[in-house]
Amino acid sequence: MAGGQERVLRRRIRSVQSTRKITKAMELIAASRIVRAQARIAANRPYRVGMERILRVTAAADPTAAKKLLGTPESPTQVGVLAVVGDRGLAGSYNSGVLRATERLVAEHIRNGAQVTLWTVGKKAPGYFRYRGIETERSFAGMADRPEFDDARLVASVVTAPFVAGEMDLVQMVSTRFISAGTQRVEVLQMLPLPLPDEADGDEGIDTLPSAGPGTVGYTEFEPEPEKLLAELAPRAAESEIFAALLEGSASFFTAQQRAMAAATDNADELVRTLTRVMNRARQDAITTEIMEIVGGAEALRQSKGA
Amino acid sequence: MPDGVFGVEVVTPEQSLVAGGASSVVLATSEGALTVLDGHTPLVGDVVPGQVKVDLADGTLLRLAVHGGFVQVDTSPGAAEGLAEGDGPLPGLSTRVTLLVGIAELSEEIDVPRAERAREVAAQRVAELKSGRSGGASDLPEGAEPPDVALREAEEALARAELRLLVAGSGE
Repeated sequence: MAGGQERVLRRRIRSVQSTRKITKAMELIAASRIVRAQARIAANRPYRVGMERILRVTAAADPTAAKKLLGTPESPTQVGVLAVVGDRGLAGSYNSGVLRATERLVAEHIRNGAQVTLWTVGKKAPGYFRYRGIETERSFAGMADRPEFDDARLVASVVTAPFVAGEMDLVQMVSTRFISAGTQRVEVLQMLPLPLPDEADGDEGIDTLPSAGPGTVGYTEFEPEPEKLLAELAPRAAESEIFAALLEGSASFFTAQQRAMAAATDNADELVRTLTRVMNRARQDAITTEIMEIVGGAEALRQSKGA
Repeated sequence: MPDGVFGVEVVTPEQSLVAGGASSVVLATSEGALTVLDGHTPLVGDVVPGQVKVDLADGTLLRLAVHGGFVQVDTSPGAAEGLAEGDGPLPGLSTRVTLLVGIAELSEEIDVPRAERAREVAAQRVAELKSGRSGGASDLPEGAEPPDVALREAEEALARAELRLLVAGSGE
């Protein structure tokens, strides 16, 4: 019966409209959190910049000690990978982008004959790797939305321990960098050993460092001596990097979620429009049919009377 | 800018606590107490937990509880550039002192009742752990941290609370 179709469509439209209310609300919430997350990235910048400067100056002062803690190993055999994703979904490709990149990275290390230890941040990660039969050493949850420095400290203590103990020769981190409100990129970052500050320009590596950067002009005093200082600095620098990645990850998550939810809201609007049109046509058809039936019936009645 | 003034900043990963011109900074590294005045040689060092005093250029004395970090005195050209927060840009400064600290509070921002409570809790915990260790620590719940780690953490918490109270000016 034609009226039945109309009822079904009406129900469907109502359901799409209530979904739209949810996606719209999520879009607005995500948008408001982006601002806060961005402000936290900005507040973290002086620390990050300062850490980098101190590290550069100290590394330049004691190249031999620096070589142990800085630089990229040629063919690592024990590798640690930290993947940073979100605690929640509904954020477009935010989680899957990092997870896929991590999977690729792990596969590559294994192909090269390395042992890989995997850590993850974010509730969305363990399930993904479990399904693919990749073992995760430890997963952290509940810190992706609003990361605190203590969270970064906890993660850092776990991921730096095997490196400091000499059981690991490379620690990498896969996370989403918040480049601007419009651009976020999944990146693999070498965390330990610390990448040389100017590795990109100097092929000869650490020996060219003393000339690197304006921060190394002249004589610098060290308390304690650079070697000790570097050993203290390396884990702190890793902490700082992880915290920055958590902050940028959370900003990227909200941006991705806002975008995904805006698209979902648009789709809901579009769907409501189409469904309304179909429903109106169905109703019109039903009315036309009904009129035809009445006219037909009246005609038949008159003919039977006249006969 | 008057003579003897240099740029100083105290930053934590969460925020910038101090940024501006100062006439002296007093802190402690692992090798002893250190006062930084204008014209100090370039220096990189660690900062051990303790009180840090910053004499701002306008005469105010800031006191901070600093729970460990690093310090850099940078005299390279342009070092103090970009250090402009607070009371506007600071032209003509040749030295920049940067303190990078994980946790730090300004004296007036310290929550004294909270620190007092924290000290009590931590002191009790330290006492408990110490007595537990001497009298056989077999009553520890399964899966708890090893007693020495727990003890170190409790002692650190105690030290932090005491430092806060000292800097807030109400410590005994």
